[in-house]
Amino acid sequence: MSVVQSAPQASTEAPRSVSIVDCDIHPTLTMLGLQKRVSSRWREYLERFGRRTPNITEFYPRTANAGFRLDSWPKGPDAFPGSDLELLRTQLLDECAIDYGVLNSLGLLNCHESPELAAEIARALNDWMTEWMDQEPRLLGALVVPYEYPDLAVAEIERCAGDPRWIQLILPDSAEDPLGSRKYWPVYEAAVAHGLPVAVHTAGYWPHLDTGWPSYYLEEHVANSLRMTAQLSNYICEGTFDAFPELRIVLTEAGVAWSAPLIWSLDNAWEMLAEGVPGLERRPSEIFREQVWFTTQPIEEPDDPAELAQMIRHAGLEDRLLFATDYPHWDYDSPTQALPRSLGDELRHKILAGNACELYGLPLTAAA
Amino acid sequence: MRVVVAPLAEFPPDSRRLVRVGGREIGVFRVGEDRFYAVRNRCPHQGAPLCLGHVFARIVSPQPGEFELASGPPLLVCPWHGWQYDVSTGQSYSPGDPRVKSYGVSVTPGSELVEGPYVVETFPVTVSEQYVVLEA
Repeated sequence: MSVVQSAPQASTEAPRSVSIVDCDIHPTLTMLGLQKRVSSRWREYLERFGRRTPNITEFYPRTANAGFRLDSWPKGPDAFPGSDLELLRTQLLDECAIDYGVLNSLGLLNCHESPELAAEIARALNDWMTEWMDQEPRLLGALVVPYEYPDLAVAEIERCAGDPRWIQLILPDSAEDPLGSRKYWPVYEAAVAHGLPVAVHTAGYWPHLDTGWPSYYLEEHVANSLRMTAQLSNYICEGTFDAFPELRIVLTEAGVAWSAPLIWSLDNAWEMLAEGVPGLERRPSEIFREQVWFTTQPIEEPDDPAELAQMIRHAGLEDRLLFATDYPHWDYDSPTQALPRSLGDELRHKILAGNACELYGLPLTAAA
Repeated sequence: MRVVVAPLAEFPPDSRRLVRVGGREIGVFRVGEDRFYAVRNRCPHQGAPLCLGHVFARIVSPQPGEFELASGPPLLVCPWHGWQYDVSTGQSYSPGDPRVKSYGVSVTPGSELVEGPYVVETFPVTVSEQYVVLEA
């Protein structure tokens, strides 16, 4: 990286407390934009063959409104929701008074490309997001890495991690192997070495594990939590958290409430079956409390908001929930409307900003 | 307050306009030739710009295998999460959910408007034309 930026600095003129950190914003680099940013060899390949995986608008089951807020489509040629920094700035950052927003690109969460192309896509996406962060100091980024090729992923981390605006990595919730497997450990090792949490984001190309494919978008949408349940169990049982006690995982866009009974079950089973799991050295709930975070969108919305507060208490997540809008996706959460007031000011502030500032080491006063 | 939205001739069928009235933004809809509706441009769910959403006729079905488009007021569907409202009353399609505020709209001859009082900012009102007027 030729230019190393400074970490977000507190404004010296008008110090103002950080009140909203949005931990899941989705920028989109269009196919034409990507083609301009890869080498001629891969540009010709992309023009001739395209990507191996479909665009979100081509998913089956079909997503609602093609997956996006209807008002998030920019005007002009080659426009796609999340492709226009100015619209993102006015419609999200300004409109909602967001102090920091985390760019979670989904552009390589299906890493089923040739290794060389996957590495070039990651590099192109990261360089493009760097240009956005240069233009908009409220934006921070999740590094995109070609995770199916861990050596290349580590190289990309090493190339970029010196820029403190990269505050995490992003991985999908369904890769070629379970995410806790040793194949991916070099990626976690590099993340820990650079102090970067790892966001594991819903990416819906997988069936309901071994139960077959969903027929309806409603079914698929809600089933995101099932994949995340399996991945969290796998991380714990493979001993990944024990191998990397400083690894911090941010489970992104897959709900929250399922975690409480999962941890109860894992603790109970561990007491009886621990010797069958050689890599798991600590009680699952202890690992969970120390090394796992969640984003809120789409947090469960029981009819009685008091039950949400009760769930947060059961799971012990007061310090672990990170607010997210999921902009520009159709199920976007408004920072002023989404969290029930009955959670109380203290907990709401933790979720909206405090927990993210602590996790990512952000200053408690706003940049702009 | 009466707000003159537009000359009728400049408000084509199956189109909409956004009008700012004080701090409120209101969407005015013309459905077909002669039906006009207006609701506040703010979804009661999470504050989305409701009036940017799709407008759909209701589908009614007397029995399995038979369905038709209902002739009554259409539904306005929020562009974010898909909440649906009766565009004439603002009532939510889901029982128990809050309604969006609706307003009266009329087509009024200029001869009734030239004396005021009304709000119009961008065009002159003349006796000879018809106007779309919002009661907000």
